[in-house]
Amino acid sequence: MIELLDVSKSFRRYTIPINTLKSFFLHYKDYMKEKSKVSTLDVIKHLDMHIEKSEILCIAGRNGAGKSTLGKLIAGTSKPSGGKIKVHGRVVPFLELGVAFSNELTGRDNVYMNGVLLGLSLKYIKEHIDDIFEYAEIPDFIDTPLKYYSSGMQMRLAFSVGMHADGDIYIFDEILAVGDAHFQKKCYDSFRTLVEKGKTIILITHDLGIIKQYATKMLLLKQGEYRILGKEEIAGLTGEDLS
Amino acid sequence: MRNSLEIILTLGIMDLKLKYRSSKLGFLWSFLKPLLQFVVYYIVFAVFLQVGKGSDYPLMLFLGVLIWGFFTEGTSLGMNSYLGKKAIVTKINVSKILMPVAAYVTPALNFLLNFLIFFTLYVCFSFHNLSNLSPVGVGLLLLMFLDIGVIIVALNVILANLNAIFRDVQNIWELILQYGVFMTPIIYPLPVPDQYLVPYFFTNVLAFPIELIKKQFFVYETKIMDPYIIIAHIVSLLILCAVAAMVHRKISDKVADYL
Repeated sequence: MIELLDVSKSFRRYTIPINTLKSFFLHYKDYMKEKSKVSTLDVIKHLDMHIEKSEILCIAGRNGAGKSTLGKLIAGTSKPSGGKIKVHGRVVPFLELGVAFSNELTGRDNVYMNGVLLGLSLKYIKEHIDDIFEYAEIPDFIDTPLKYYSSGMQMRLAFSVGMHADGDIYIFDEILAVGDAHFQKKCYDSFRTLVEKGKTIILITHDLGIIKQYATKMLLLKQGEYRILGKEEIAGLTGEDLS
Repeated sequence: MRNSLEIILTLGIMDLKLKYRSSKLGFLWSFLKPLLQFVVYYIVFAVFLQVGKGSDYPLMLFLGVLIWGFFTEGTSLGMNSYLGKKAIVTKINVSKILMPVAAYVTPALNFLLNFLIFFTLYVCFSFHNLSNLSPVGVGLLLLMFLDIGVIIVALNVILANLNAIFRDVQNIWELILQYGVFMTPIIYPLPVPDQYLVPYFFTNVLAFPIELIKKQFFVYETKIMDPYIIIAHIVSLLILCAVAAMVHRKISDKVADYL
């Protein structure tokens, strides 16, 4: 279960680069002048929401609406500027492409690194490494450096590790876009299994068909404002509502 | 707790693998680098400048080079532990403290192996000094290695957080390390006048453990057992840890937003 209590997230609009000493000295005067009036961009404003077990929440909105930011806030990698987020259970995030892959390391090493970061024990990973590659359908690439994997293969591997991680909350941030039809079907089929096991799924997507098919709740973000939609309202959604 | 230890271990091993990827000599570099550095310092300072005197000087220099190598490698890896692991920091919520700590694993392992080489040479070539090594001395040695470990981890926390925000930190730290090698008793005992010893050991937190380690192995004149110097080092170490804790508390939550 996830509780979002009056959550806000804002970023400063830095118009003057000052993250190196050189640029700081070059732009010193402008910086001091503008320091007090750096405007902020409110990506998420006073969001109140509960997400229960076995729910599939779809987050939609235009580019820059704050979908990925919200994903990161729930995953805990970024902290809110205001309000509180209470997450009960272990989060398995699929943010951007892949999870925490290093291109120079082999698939095996990456599975160890990812698995342990997602809370799996080294013993479990060692015993199940073949199963993980079998599930990803890339058993021949176990000792191949990740830089030779296609983006779809990386996604399969990330997904497979995530499925073995046995989390309570799964966040998918538009990751399924890179998979082929067969992989996408496998992912969507797994949603049903996860929901039956009482897991919570958060799906960040633009795909209206997917939203209508799977979402039990929807969060529509628009320029800092938000709308929470139930199943009936989701059924009546049109493409225009998402734009 | 077990998972945190496994994360530290895994990240440390991955650092090691990444460090020697596509390298023909691989792990051998861990031994070659301090050895070559020792040769350069020895030729310049002992042969040409005649700084090092006594039959123990080569071993003392070698030990100093190993500790300094451990320190520079540890802090350089630690400084990049957020920036270099952006994929992890921005995507998975793991305790941020684990990465600067994990950066300590590879250099510590390298140092341990190099230290075994040093100890073998010490037994072979400095046998007469072996009787200096009392049980209390061994205890002090372990304490000082722990001391250096704490210094490295505390600095890693500070550097990793600051480096995520200001990239200049890398260049500044490189400069500090370049000066540091001559400001720390590695190549020669520092000719610091007695009245400046307390402020010196207060500002150079690494000098104290190096001096004490040397004292355990060799007949070595040093005034570090002066209570004021010991207090200066302890206070300096506590301040460093307090600053690290403060930096971690203030910045580490925001690090992902800067990367």
